[in-house]
Amino acid sequence: MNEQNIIKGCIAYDNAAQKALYKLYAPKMYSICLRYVKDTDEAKDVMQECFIKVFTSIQKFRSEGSLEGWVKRILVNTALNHIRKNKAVLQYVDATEIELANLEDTSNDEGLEGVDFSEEELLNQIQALPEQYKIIFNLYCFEDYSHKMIAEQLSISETGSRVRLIRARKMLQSSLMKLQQERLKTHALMNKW
Amino acid sequence: MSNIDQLFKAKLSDSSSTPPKEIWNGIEGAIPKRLFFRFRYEHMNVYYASMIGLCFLFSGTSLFYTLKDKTSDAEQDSVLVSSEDSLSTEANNNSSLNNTVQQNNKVNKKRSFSFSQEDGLNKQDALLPIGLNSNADSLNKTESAIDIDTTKNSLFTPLLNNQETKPKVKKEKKVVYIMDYDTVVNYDTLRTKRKKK
Repeated sequence: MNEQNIIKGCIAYDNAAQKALYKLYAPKMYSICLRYVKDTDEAKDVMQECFIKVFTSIQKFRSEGSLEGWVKRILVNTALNHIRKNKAVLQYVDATEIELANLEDTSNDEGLEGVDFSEEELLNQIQALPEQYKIIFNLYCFEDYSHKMIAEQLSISETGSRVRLIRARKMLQSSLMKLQQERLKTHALMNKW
Repeated sequence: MSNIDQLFKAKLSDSSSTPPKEIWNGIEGAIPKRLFFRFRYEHMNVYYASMIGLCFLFSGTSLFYTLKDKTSDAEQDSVLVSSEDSLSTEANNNSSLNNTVQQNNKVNKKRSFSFSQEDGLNKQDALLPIGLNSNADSLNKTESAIDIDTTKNSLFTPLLNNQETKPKVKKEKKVVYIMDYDTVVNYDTLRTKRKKK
């Protein structure tokens, strides 16, 4: 079943077409979902809500863009709404320009060159970030949102978005460095034995 | 985009993980519920049928309750009218009597009613202060022994006529009792007043 047939079937509320669409995009969407929420239970809720929205409003989909992009956009918005509803953590304190000037974006992969981290390890590092940093990092890095778009989406200032992105990067860098050091320690121990 | 961003993007942008099966089961169960409340042209007939059914149900129940209320009101009215009629006839009959006879009659009625409702004449006997049987006078004459000439005594004729209209025999007994012993009746009148207080 190709994408056009799936879309037609989903518009007619055909169960087989719906299942086909789910099977096609669910693994990727679930992975994205896990980046935004803390645990698998929340990810399940977001996934369900997302696909219900997809199936009940698929007639609104215009074939101009890709179906995957459309589903992904719905998923991201659903995840953001879910976080807003359940946690109300998006209470950002706007950073001033001075604060931004003091924060130099010194994050780089210095010391991490040539290190191969697994998907799970990287996902764990993202999930360990504070909620507000995690959202901004995800939107900027993976969804290619600009700071202006992030500011509009989260009702914050662009400066605030920038500051939090820098902090998120620093936190990720330091956590990856720690991880690498632990790896080296265990490797040295193994060699000793 | 910094190096850290690139590192994460390269690894995670195309990553995928198998979602649990419960998600699809949840979606499958939730979609029909969502669609049921959403208006669709395919479900037009269902909506119309359910709307018509609801209209019938609502009108039927409202009609049933209005008719029920009307019948119950009519029954209540009939009961009220009959009781009012009986009261008015009693009042007309009593109006011809003088005040003493009226008072005695009222007291007598009250007492006879309460006795007939509860223990009959035995209780009436127990309440009497002089310890006499209700069927007997102060000289221990029984009711049957007391002969009243109703034709001669015009004062009691209306009362007796009134008593004749009533079907119960017990009420006739009390008439005899009142006529002969005004003192007992007066005592009981005070007693009922005390009870009311």
